[in-house]
Amino acid sequence: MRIFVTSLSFIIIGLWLNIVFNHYVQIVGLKINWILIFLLIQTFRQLNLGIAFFGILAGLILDALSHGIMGLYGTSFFLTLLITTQIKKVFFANTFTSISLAVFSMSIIEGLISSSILSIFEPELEISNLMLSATLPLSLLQGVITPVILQFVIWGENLFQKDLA
Amino acid sequence: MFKFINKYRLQFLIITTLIVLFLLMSQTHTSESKSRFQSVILTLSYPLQVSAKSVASAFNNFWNSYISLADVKKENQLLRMQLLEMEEKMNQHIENSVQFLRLRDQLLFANKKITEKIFAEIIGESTDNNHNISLINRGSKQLVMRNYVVLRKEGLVGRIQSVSPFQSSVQLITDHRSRVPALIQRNRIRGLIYGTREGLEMRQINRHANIKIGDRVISSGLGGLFPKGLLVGWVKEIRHQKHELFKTAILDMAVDFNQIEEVFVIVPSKTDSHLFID
Repeated sequence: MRIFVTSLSFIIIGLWLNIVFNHYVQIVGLKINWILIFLLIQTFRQLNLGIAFFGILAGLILDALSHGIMGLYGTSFFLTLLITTQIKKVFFANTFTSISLAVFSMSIIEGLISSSILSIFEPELEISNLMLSATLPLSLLQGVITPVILQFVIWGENLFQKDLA
Repeated sequence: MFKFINKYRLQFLIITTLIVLFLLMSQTHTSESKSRFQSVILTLSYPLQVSAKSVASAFNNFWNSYISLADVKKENQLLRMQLLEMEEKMNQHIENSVQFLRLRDQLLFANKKITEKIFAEIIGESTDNNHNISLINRGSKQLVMRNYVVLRKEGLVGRIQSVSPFQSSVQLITDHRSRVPALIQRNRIRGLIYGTREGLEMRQINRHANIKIGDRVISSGLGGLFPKGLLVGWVKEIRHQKHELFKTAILDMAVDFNQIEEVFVIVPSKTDSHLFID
């Protein structure tokens, strides 16, 4: 139960960062997808598939606060996290370098999925242009920032779950 | 059958979830009224955004009124000088505006209409990098409705995309889905303004049209969504290849979308939606 609450707390923090913090702080004009980083770290650190379903909720919230096509980020987050649960079986990503690499790769995949779905509804959108100008630099940025988030997650877990061990 | 479903229940759950999400997407994309869920999210996120905005404003006020007090004496002297100049200019403007008001009253005498403006503050923006959306602190409680036009005194800002009781999302004209029918003010040549990642482009301009750098571009009122006469920008660059049927003009935006903090939502008059003059 406490693990569930801790995960939920991290997701809420990620959402807050996405909704409020991004409005005031943007690195090189890009809005970091904090919630995706938190979700990916949580997925890599836990065996629970429930994180993928949290991903749907987080995605739906982001949909409501951006383009309004409900379910777009919900689907892309869900699929990305499902892929992550499979990758986790063969790739250990609990060190700073490996988690950076993993988040970088998974962010690209998430960007590809969301752009592909978006292009169904908005045919004038150029996926390749979007990938090169937004998704790739954003994924790189997210990869760079991930160790800091991981450190925060470890600190949070130690704080709330240390007596569970 | 049940054994089969029970055996593959996780796969069934995943597939069902995906189907539900796709149905939701297609429904919210096509329907005019946005989903109830979106309204709930906008309502729930409102306190978060308003509190962050007030903290940021309080910090800004503190910074401006206290920290920058050091330069206030110098600034005072400069402002006094500017005030004298401004007073002189204002006298001229008053004279001009009296004449203007008289002429305008004559012009609008036959077709007088009242347009109400709702003042709104920008409290947030799109959570992704692909869409140019701003969130404002006015919603259906303040009679804001979908597709109402949003502007500033500098020019056109966008339209209301979705509404919740306390806040609304505004699709800016720089959003890649935005289309504004427009014309060159000097010679009334028509085109369509597209939002791009870099800014604004006026496309579908007749290839023989005479357009110049610096021409003012205003909304044409075609389509009925945006009223006629709202400034959108100025022509910065003209692109045309010999084989192309249309010219494209790159525009300098009238509104600096990185700086805006307050906007006005226009409640359309019941008679028609024509030119707004302040």
